[in-house]
Amino acid sequence: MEHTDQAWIDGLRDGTAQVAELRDFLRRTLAKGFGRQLQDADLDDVTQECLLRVQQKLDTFAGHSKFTTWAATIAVNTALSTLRKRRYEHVGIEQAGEQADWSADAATDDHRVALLRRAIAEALTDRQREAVQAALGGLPLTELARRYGVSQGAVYKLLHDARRRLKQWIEEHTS
Amino acid sequence: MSDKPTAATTLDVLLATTQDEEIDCDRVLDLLPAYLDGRISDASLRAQIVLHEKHCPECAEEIAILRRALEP
Repeated sequence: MEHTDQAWIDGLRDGTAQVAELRDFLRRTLAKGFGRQLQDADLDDVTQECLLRVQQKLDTFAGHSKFTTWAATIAVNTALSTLRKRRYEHVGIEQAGEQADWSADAATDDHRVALLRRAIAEALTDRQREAVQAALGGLPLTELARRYGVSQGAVYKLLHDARRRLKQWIEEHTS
Repeated sequence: MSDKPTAATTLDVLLATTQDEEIDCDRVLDLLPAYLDGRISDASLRAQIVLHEKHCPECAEEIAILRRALEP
């Protein structure tokens, strides 16, 4: 049976059977979304972590979407953070930067690669340079955010400012 | 040879689509449930989220997983 958003909220505040129903919904949602990346006991553990996170954030549900979409968004975000942390916790920021592949290819020739690398070396602050290189080496923004102790949005802003500086520097040096 | 774009090509694509104003991941994550439910009526805001998906592989992955998870 489908519940209204209010019925979900009221039921979860009462701590009744709705908690078990939400756990089942989150488990199904994560299983469908992540497939083989998240299975069996691992799926159960992550589901429990996500359930707690949704319950903690219950008061912030503003009704801009269906309750189930809102809860699924929190669950997928929580699960992704957990999986990325596991995958990248032993990869250093500098190490990630060194993994970036700076070879030329069909779209970007040697001259352009050299220009981009010079722009990174000359136009950016130390923090911007480190973050750009790590991101290009495949380190997720969520992991950079965790290492820097800031939000993912703050890392995005750092990288956005870096892109704007790079764009301007390249315009000045190629016109 | 890897199919993954090189760092230079990735950066070039990012620079070509960089705008002066872009919404960040925190804002996208706030908007995401309403976006997925088709409840954002502001077309420019929807376009900003689409642009953000191009610039942020993490949010793009999150949106793809959610779309798969929530499809009927």
